[in-house]
Amino acid sequence: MISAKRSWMSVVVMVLCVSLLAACGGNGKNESGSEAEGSASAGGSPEKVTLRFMTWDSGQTLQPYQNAINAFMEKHPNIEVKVESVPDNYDQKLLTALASNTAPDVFMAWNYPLYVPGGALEDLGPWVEKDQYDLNMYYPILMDYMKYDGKLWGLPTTYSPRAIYYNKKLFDEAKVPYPQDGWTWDEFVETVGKLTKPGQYGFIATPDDVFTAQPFFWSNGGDFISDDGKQIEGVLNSEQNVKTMEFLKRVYDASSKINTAGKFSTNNGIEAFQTGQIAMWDNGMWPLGDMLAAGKLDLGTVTHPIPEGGTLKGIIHTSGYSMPKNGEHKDEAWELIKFMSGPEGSKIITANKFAFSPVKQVDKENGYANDPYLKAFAKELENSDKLIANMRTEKWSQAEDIIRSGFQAIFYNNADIKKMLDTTAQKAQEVLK
Amino acid sequence: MSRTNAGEAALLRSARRKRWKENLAGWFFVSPWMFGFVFLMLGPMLFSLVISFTEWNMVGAPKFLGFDNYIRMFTSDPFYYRALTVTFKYVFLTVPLQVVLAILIAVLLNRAIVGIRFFRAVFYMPSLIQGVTLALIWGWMFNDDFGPINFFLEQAGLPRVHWLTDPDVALYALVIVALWGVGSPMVLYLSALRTISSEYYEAADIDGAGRIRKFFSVTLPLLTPTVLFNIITSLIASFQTIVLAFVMTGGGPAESTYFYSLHVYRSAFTHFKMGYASAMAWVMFVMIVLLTGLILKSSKYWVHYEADGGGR
Amino acid sequence: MQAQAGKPWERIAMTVLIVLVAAAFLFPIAWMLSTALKAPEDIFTPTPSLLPETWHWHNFADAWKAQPFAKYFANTLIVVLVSTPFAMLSSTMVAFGFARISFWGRNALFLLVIGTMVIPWDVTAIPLYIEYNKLGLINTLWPMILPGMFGAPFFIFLARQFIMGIPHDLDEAAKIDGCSRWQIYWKIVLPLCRPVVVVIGVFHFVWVWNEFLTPLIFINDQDLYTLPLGINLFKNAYNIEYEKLMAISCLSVLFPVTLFYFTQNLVLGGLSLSGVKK
Repeated sequence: MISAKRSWMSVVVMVLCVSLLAACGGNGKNESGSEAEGSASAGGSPEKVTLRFMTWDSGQTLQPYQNAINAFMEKHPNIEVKVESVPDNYDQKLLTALASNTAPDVFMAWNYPLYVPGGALEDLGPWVEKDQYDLNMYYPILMDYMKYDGKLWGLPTTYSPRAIYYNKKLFDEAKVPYPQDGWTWDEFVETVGKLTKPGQYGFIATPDDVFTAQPFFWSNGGDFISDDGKQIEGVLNSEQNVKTMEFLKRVYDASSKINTAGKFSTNNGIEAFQTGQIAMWDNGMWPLGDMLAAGKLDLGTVTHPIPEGGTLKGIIHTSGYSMPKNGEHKDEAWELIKFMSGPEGSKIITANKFAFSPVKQVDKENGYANDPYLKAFAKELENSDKLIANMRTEKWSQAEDIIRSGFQAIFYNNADIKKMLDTTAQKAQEVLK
Repeated sequence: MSRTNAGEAALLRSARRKRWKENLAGWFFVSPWMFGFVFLMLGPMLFSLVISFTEWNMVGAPKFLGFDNYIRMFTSDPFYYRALTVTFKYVFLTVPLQVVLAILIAVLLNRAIVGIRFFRAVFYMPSLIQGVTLALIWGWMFNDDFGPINFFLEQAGLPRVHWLTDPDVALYALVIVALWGVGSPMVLYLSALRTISSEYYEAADIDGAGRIRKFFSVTLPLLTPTVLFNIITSLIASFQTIVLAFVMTGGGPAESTYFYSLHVYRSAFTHFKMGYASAMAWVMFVMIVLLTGLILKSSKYWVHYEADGGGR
Repeated sequence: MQAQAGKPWERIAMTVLIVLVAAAFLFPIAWMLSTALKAPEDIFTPTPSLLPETWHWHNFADAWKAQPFAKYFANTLIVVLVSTPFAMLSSTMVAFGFARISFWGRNALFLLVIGTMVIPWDVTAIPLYIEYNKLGLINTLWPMILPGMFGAPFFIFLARQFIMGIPHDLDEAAKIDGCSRWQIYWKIVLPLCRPVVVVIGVFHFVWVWNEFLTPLIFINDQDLYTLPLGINLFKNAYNIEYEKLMAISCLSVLFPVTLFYFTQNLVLGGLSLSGVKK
């Protein structure tokens, strides 16, 4: 009896396991969806198609995208777009859906090197070719963020460089002149020191955030990883990088000598900046519109400081609209992607200083490059020719963990900079194998 | 002779039948759970076990690796032992403190004073606040710059504490948050206290026992089944803790709150290494099951079920 | 039993102690409520204050209207109301099997029950998703309802501890009277289990009410969102609408806390894992 029960159970288990494994093997049939629905554009009177659009934006930051989607639906009455807003655990949700062939028809993505291997994403190259879609309307650097392995995986959404916000009132109180574009590292450290007092920080940039530290390294001629994504050793621990690290450590010490910590703050310190506890703050342009609308702060923006003999090289935050290889409504999804990324959609999305448009023409029309608050951001883009480290190898995220750990040892425990960069580079190199 | 044999055989048969009936009855009663287990859990569990021997980025086909993931964990993962240490430290702080605090509050609330129903609700309420709201509210409480706790400290002339930004303090801050949710076990202890028969105390009174001795010789033994339950469930929950670190500290500063489950999560959904994440999950599974088994085994020496009349 | 009232000064001292500890426990919740009532620009100030400068009661209405919270609320309620009765029944039934019948494989199976609490959800979510997808349950409320229906390990364990404390002579007597196992469970043990059943009900209610990851992964359509997912929509990469988030959080807590307030006598009427009242 018992053994019979056991073998019966093991059969059930086997069947379950095999069917589950088979389901995730990734051969592209979608069994649950009805095939009829898929070919909407074929007939004379098109059937109504519902597209699922997934984004990490929500609430206020979703609104600009929702506006563009509404415009799209007006233009295409046969297509309904349902927005799925997932502000937390986005990658978890997307991966789970991709693994079981139930991904949304269009979704936002940015870390293509991680998503591309395995072949769940649709190569947009053939679609571009088919429609003779003009990719030259976009900023070339942004298109580099959409490519990996020589193929095109998305069309850009919006972009924003990072710049430094400063609180004019705190500068006035300390009788320090406002910073000017093109200022030097030494001036920066000095300014941070002057603006730091008990309960007030000269600068917060979460310095152990590897991602946002990149522009400092670039502008001094250094980098984290070689352009081909294969070499960290010798790149991360270069002569220039030791200098950059020494500078960052000085910034850190200047800001934290009185307030022993305060590197992390809720939400990257936005609340602390808004309440006047941080004099300078490194971020993208997204919160600017809301902060100006609130009108509480007298703020200015300035480009990142540059080292002696260095050039300003800004970092760009951007993302793309992508679709899954096994999507049911690819034709409609492509229409949506084109609309959202192209002049019409991006014009709507980037209204009210929400972000920069990836379309050069729209950017020009918006005139943000001449806006007193956005000038600094626009300047950051000018010489930016570096691709973020994530885009160069699919193993970057693991290397980044090790590098962050090394940075923290320098910031928190005063580890020797040269030695620490050497060992960190060596350890991170291991990961790339 | 043969008659006795036949009789013995019949007896044996009936005993066997009884055993068989007993087995059947047992499996019948646990069948709802078995059903749920076989159809909702077993497949996914075995799946993750199989995946733990592969390299799988979740969007492609898995690649078989043998024991590589398990070997890597113990030999070349720079964060594994860190995550293990942090988690064990957290567990061994949180579990005993929670048990003690829950019992203390339950004893405190086990009396007839005005508004006692209100107070019980007050102590239970924090355990209703979970997830993002919990992390946000405590991230704020502990904030360096505008957190109320530091504000009070400063008003009292004490130095500010960098609760979440000092690597030496952050883990303890998270323990405090965990202890705030002591309401659920407290309810269990409180109800257990309510049912202790007054005869026991009267007997202890006759022995001339003081209040402290009464607590240790009467109250505490009768709470042990609840303590056993509390220890095991809180152990498991603490091992799996992730939300607080995820939202409040991100595992930092300097990896001081880098929990095991955060490492599992990040391996899976930041590094896209589901195979490795599964392997780590199974190692944790084995660790907790061993610990739980040990505690359950030990329970017959210290857990007192009243129905047994004081021990088996 | 309840502690006897001692000398008057002792009673006062105890009451003061309870009030003080309660105040400490309540403070973060009071902070939530006060945030929910503040104007957005008063939320973060260098000198934090528990009392709002101006009372913005309309924050609650604004938050409620920002998303279809009536819908989210209804969805949550459906999930809770459908799954909780099953959880109460199945958990005690399974627990009875573990506590009272010594069947083949019992101890190993019990360890397995506890073991299933241990395996992190992150690594089983994908196969579970694939399975639910095959069953056509993705984007329905079922993935939130189903698992608890068959008895959750936590509650099975809780009920087992309770049932182990019920004196055996009761079932022995019933057995002699010719009661079947089922009758013993249904007529004798289950009625004695009332407190633990109520506890399971309350805890399960709270647990499902707050569940975040399950609906996040298995539900796509925002019309099917539950409260925790709705609350999360007030948060994005660079901005948190604190006053609204806290307003809905307060409303969300209100329901279970009211439930507890009114059922506490049922619960505290006697849940003892060591034995029934003599």
